[in-house]
Amino acid sequence: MNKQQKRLDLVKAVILLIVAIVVIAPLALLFASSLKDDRFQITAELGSIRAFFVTQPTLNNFVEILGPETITPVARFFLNSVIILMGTVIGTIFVSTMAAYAILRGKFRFRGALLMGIIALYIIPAEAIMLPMLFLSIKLKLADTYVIQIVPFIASPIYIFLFYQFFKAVPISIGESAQIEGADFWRIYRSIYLPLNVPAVVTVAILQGMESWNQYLWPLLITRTERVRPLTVAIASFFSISDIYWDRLFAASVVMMIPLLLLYLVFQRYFIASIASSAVKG
Amino acid sequence: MIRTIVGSDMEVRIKSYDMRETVQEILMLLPAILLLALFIITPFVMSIPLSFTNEKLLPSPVPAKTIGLRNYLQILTDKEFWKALRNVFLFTIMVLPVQCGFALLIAFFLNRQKILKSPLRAIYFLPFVTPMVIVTVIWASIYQYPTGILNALFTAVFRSFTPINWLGETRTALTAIVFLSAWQAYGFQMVVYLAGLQDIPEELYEAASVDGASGWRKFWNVTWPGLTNTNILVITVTTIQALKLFTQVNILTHGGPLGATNTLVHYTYEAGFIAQKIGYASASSILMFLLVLGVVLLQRFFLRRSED
Amino acid sequence: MKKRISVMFLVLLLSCTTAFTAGKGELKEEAISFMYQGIDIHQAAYKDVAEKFTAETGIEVELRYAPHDVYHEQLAGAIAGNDVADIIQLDGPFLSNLAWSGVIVPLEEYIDPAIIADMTASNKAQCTYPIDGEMYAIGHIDSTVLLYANKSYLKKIGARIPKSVEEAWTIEEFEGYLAKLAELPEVQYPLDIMRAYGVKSEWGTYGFYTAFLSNGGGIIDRKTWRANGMLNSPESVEVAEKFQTWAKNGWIVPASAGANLLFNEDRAAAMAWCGNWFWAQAYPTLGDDLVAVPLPDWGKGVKSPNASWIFAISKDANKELAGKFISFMLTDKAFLDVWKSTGDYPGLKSWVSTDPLYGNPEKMLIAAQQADTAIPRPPHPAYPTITSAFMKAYANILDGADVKATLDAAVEEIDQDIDDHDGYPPFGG
Repeated sequence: MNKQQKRLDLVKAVILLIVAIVVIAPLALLFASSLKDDRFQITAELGSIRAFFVTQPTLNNFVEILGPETITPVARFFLNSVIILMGTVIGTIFVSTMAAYAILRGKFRFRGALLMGIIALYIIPAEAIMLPMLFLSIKLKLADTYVIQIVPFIASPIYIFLFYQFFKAVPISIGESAQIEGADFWRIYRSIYLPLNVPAVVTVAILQGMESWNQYLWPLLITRTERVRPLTVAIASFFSISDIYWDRLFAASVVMMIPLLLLYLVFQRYFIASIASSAVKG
Repeated sequence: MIRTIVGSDMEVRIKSYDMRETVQEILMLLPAILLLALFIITPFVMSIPLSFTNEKLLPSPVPAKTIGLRNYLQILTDKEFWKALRNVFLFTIMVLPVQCGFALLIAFFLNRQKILKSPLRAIYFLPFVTPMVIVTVIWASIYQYPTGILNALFTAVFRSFTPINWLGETRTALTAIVFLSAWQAYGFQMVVYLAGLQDIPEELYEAASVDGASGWRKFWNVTWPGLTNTNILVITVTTIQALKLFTQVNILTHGGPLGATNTLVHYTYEAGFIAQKIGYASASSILMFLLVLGVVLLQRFFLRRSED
Repeated sequence: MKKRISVMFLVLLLSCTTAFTAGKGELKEEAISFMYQGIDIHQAAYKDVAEKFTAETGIEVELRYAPHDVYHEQLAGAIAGNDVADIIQLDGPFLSNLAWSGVIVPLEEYIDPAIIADMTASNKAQCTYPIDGEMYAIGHIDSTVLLYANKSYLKKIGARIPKSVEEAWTIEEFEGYLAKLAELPEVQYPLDIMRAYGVKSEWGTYGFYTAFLSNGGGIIDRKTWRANGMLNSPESVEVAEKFQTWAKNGWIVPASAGANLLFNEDRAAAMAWCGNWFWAQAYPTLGDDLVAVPLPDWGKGVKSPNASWIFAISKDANKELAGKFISFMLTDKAFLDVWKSTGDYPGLKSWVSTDPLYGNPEKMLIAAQQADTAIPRPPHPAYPTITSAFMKAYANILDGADVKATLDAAVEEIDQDIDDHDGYPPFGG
C-alpha cells in the first residue's frame, strides 16, 4: 500500500471508530448507570450527557443484588441461567447434528419431506404455542424444573437446518472412502463429519446459548419459585408498580451481560468467521 | 452401501451391516423427531380444536362451548388484528433497509479496511450480544420523554426542537421500535455481508476499473449482483424474525399507543394471557402461522426466480 | 476423540441427572406453600414472618414469589396447571372470579376470630363473595386513591385547600385549577395520573372507575350485570371526554416521563392522582409542601376506590395449616409494622387508630376518611374481562381515540364475555 492509500485508510479507520463509538454508546449508558448508587440520580442524569459518565463509581448496586442480604437472589438466578444454558447447548449439539446427518446421508425414504417439514416448523413462534405447552408440561409433572426449560428447545428446526447445510458441503467422497474401509453410519458421523465441522458446532453453540440465556416468557410461565428461575425473569422483578429500581435493574443487566461479553471476547474471531462461512454455504 | 461385492458370506455381512446402519440412522433421527413432535407439533395441533371453542384460561363451572368459526370471524373483523398485521408488515418493510442497509454499509467499508479492521469489527458486533430485555431497558431511557438523551440531543442540535414522545405517539412509536431492533440485530447481518463481499472476485472490480467505471458504478454492477445469494439469505431470515416481533413491544409499549405497535404475536398473547381467552388466542396463532407461511413461500418463489 | 465424546456424554448425563433431581423439591408432610408479590421491603417481611412461623411451629413454608407485573400470568399458569399454592395472594376485585371458578374456598373457620373482628367494614367487603356472603379471603391492608398537591403551587393560584372529604372540590373547581396551574411557568404538567404505571396494570381501572361513578355513570350495572347503558352512558362518556381533553391540552404527564414528577428535583407536576402509597414516596422530598386532597366531586358525591392484595386459601390446600399461618402472620406485630412503615392503608381497626400517618390531619387523615366513600370494583366473576376492557379503552381514550366508539367496543367485550358464560350463574345478567 502506498503512502496515499495508507493515509486514506487511516482516515477511514478514524471515521469508522467514531461512528462505532456512537453506535455502541447505549451500552456505555448501561455500564455507567450500573455504577451509580442512587436511582434518582440515575434518572436525573439519563437526560443529559452525564448519562455516559460516572463521577463517583461504586460497586454498591452489585453488592446489593449479589450479596447475602439481597431480597432478589441474583446469584441464584445467574446459576440457574448457567445450568439451563449448558443443558440446552449440549443437548442441541447432539440432537441437531445427529438429526441433520441422518437426514442428509441416511436412506430413509421421506427424508426430503422431513426436512421441509422441519423448516416449516420454524415459522411457528414460540409464544403462540406456549399455552398448550404449559398445559402439556404440567400434565407431564415437569413444571418448575430445569428439565422443562431445557428439553423443549433442544430440537430446534433452524439449527437442524443449519447443520444440514454445513454437512452438505462436506464432499461425499470422504464419507464413501471411509465406508470402503468399513466405517458404519454412526462412525462416519462421529469421526468425520463432526470433527470437520467444529466451526459450525461452535456457531450453533453460541447462537443457541444466547437464545437460551435470553429466554423470558417461557421461564416466566413455567417457574413457580426462585429455585430454577433464570436471570431474565429476575430482571422483571425490578420493575415495581410504583417505582423502577433503576440502579439494581442496570446492575442486574450488567451481570446478565458479562458472561456473554466474556465469551464474546474469547470466541469472537472464531464465531464471526464461522457465521461467515455458514452464510456462504447457506 | 457397497453391494457390488458378490458372495453369500459377504452378503450376509453386508445385510447385517445394513440392519445396523438402519438402526443407527433411526436412533439418530429419533430424539429430534420425538422432541419436535412433543414440543412443537403437539401443542400446535392441540390448539386447532381449541380454536373452535370459547375456552378460558381458568377452570369454570360453565363448560366451554364449541362455537365453530366465530373466533376466526371475530379476529378477521377486528380492527386491532388488522392493525397488528399492518404493523408487522410495516415493521418488516422498515427494518429491512434500516437493519440490512446499515449492516451492508458498515460491512462495505470494513471490507477494504486494513488498519484496525479486527477491533472495529468486534466493536460493531457488540450490540448483537446484548439480550433483548436489556436492549429495551437501555432504549427506554434513551427514548424517555421529555428528558431522554435522544430528545436532549435533538434539542442541542436544532434550537427550535420540541421534545417528542417517541414511544408514546402513534406516528413515531413503530419507527422507534424499528431502530432499536435494528440496532440490536444489524451485527449479524454485517458479518454475513462481510463474508459475501469477500467472495466477490477481485478481478471483476479490476475489470470494471479498466472499463473506466466510477466507484458508484462499480457497486451497482459488481458488488450488488455479487451479493445476490447473501441478500436472499439475509432477507429471508430477517423477514421471518420481523413477522414474529414480540418482546420489545411487550415490554416497552404493550402494543400501544392505540395499537400502533401491536403485532400478531402480541395480539395473540394479549388474547390468551390478559383477556384469558385461549380459544380465541389459538385461532389467532393459527391464522398467524398460515399468514407467515404464505409470506415465506411467496418470498422463496420470488427470490428463487431472481437467483437465476 | 473417543475419550472426548465419552466425557461429553458423561457431562450430558450428569447435567440431565442434576436437572431432573435438582429441580423437583418435595414438600414435607407438614408444609404449606405461599404465593405472593410485593416490593422488596414486603418480600423481606414475608420471609421473616415465615421463618418465625417455622421456628415456632415446625411447619415449613415454601415461598413462591412472583413479580407484580406478571403476577396474574403466573397465577393463571398455576391454576391452569392445577398447581396452585396453598395460600395465594390476590388483588381484591378478583375475588369473585376466583371464588366462582372454585379456585379458593371460604376461610372464616380457619382464621383467628380476633382478626376478623378487627377488620374495617371496607376491608371485610373486599373479602366477601356476594353470592353466599362468605369470606373467601382475608387481609390487613386496604387502599384508596386521592389527589396529592404541591401546596406552594396551589397557593400561587389561590386555590382553596379542602380540610375534609366534605369540602372536596367540585369538578368545575378542579378543572379551573388545572387551567391556572398550566399557566404557571414552573409547572410543566398540572396533573400526573400515573400513566407511567403502564397500560397493562390494574391502575387503569382502579384509579379512575370511581370518577365515572361520581358523575352518575359507571362500568357495569350492578343489578342486571350489563355494561351496555352504563359504561357507554352519557355520564360515562362525559367523564372520559374530560380526561381526553386534559390530555389533549397537555395537562397530563405522559407515560414515558416517569412517575415521580410531583416530587423530583424539578417538581414539574403540580398535582398527582394516585394511590395512598404515593405519600411515602413524595413526602421525603416535598415535606410540608405535600398536601392530601380528596378526589373531586363530579356531581354525585365523592366516590373512591378500595381494596388491596388479600390472602386466600386454595381448594386443595391443607386448610387448617394454611389458616394457622395466615392468623400467625396477621397478628405478628413486626409484620404489621412493616406495612405501617411503607405508608400502607390500614384495614384493621386497631391499626387505624394508632397510625401516625392516617390519623394525622396534617398528613393522610383525609385518605382515611375517604374509606366512607369507598365503592368496590364490580365484584363479579367476569372481572378480569371487565378490567382488561376498561383499562384498554381508558388508555386509548387518553391517546385520542373516539370516546363513544371506544367505550362501545369495551361494552361489547364485557357483555359478550358474560353471555359466553350464560351470565355466570348464579349472578345472572
